[in-house]
Amino acid sequence: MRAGSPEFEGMVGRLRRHADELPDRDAVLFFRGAAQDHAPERLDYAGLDRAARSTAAWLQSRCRPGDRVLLLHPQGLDLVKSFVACLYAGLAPVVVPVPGGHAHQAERTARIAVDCAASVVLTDSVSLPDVQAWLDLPGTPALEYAVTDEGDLAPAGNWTDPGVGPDDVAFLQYTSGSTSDPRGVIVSHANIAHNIGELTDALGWDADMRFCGWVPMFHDMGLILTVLSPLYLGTTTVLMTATSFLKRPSMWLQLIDRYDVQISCAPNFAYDLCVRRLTDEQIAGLDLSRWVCAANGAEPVDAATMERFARRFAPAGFRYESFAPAYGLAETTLLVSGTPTGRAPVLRQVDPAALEKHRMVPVGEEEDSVTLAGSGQVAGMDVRIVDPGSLDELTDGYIGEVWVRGPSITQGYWQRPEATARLFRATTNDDEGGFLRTGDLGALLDGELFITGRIKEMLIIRGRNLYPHDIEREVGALDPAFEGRTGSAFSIPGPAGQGEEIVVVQEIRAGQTDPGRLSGLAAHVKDTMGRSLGVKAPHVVLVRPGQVRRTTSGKIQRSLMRELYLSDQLTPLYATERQA
Amino acid sequence: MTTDPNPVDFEADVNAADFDAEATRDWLIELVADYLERPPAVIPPGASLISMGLDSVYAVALCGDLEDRFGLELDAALVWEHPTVDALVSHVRAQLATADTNGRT
Repeated sequence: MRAGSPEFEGMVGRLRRHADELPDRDAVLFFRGAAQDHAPERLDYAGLDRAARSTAAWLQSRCRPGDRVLLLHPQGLDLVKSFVACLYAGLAPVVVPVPGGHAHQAERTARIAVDCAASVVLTDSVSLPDVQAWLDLPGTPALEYAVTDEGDLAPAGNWTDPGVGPDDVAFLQYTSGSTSDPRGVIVSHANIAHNIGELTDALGWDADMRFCGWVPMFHDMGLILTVLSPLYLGTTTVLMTATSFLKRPSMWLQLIDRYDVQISCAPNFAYDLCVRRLTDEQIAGLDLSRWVCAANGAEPVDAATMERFARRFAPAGFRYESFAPAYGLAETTLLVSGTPTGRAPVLRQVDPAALEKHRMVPVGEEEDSVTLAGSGQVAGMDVRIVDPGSLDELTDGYIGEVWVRGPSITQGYWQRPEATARLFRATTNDDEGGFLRTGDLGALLDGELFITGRIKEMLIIRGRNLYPHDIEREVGALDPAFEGRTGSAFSIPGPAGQGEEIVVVQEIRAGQTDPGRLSGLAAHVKDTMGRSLGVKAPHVVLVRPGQVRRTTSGKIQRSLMRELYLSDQLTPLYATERQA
Repeated sequence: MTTDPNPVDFEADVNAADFDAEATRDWLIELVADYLERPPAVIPPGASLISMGLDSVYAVALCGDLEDRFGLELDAALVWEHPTVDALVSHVRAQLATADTNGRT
């Protein structure tokens, strides 16, 4: 499909060709609010190309090739246009949420701006007050900014094609790394072309299929799967905001029906939310029979969720085979493995005792078993399961760390040669090199990749990556009673189908352990952290000094703390009630 | 138990004529109980919903429910700013009063 051209046709080449061949085709339809109240904002391929050339021309007059551009737009057409403009200009866009009221959000954005050494900010008239307030903060670097929605920044005709090559940096994706230590994944133009090519081939997509989604563009799934893939293919994507989805999950499914959508993705929790929140009447008004690829990824895939969703939406014509569990991460551009369109998810009943010993041993239906949902077949990459301690490669059915190499592996972390060498250039005991260590645990069984957990202490809740270190730092600063004391944050399995929950174990200074005060202190931690994390408030356990275990080098032993907590071996001064 | 941090001023209160605070409170408690998978009896109207375990997904869901029931447009951070059932009831009443004053039909 490269039209016989020996030259590299990346995202830019594709979009230029679409503008030429399909000028009037809708590239993006965007719903800012509720679908019943408003018509969508439309952007066709000619319009996208023109807007991108205009902003790119302005950027080229200000930046040197390869410079980073911070995009501070809400979800919507302006964000898509600005992103594409950066690609056209040969610059690397960095998409981050518009910093709002939260101090830690402002801090994170500032750290990213500093880390990537952004040279300019693109924003819009709606976000401008927030952006200006953020720019005025002492921790924010001085940055030039431009507003993209108040007329052309430069004549589109002034744009000159910088002729980006496959190895040039396309964008930086900041989903990795904690708030205090953000890491930008460097994605090249070749990475995008390869990964979207793999998505298309492996999952069986084509340019006649329409897309729909609400996962934000600052998330790798939202960016690659719901925006860049359809634009690369030259088809239409229907976008709505995550807030719209959370307020009315029915709107997502209604748009899939109304716009004849074949492909839409979401993290597992979203499917549960639809099951719980749509009424029988709403379901009766839906036809989901043309939705052939319901991708499920970005957090652990739950077999029970898919079953519940398929049963609930069967009257609307949804078929279980439409579920396409997938696995990927920003470090691999996006997709590592996926379920081909039309093939049902692979479920395996395995022995729970063997699972604890890191083996997947299939058992019969009548025996005591755990159901694992596969994350699909590996697509165009080399995946190995490796013992993270010995670095020995493991055979089928053995659980170890998932290692990946191939053309979708990104170029590493921006300005982090040490972390890049350690995580992107790993070598097995058999001297096979060039692997990315994903930090995720899994096994291969009969050609299917199963993800079973992770080694890294990062918590994934509602598709968001949270770092224990960030949580511990924030809790520690909440009250003078915690000053200088250690805390530990980790996750535990929540009630069935509800993902994981966070536990915070915090030491209290000697002399501050007045029993009358402890419940108030715990409630304060719960409320503040529930607000700041945006996930279910953590369970709080207050302990005496020395109870949070550390290694001799001072590293907090979070896995050990989790074990102690789950086996009731901590002696808390106070613990919040844990729901059965 | 926290007290309502956002008491509604008296003038706004009298203007929201058809608003049934009692019914709204009961309806909200039912909803929250359903989202938290707990019995309604254990949801005190003055308790912080965030501390009780309501996460951002269901906090925004609750916002959508209120919008649909009262025809209002509410900020997604609603529950963060008005974290108890009582505070939500007061806020909705105030919003309705403002909408009335502004000639909402």
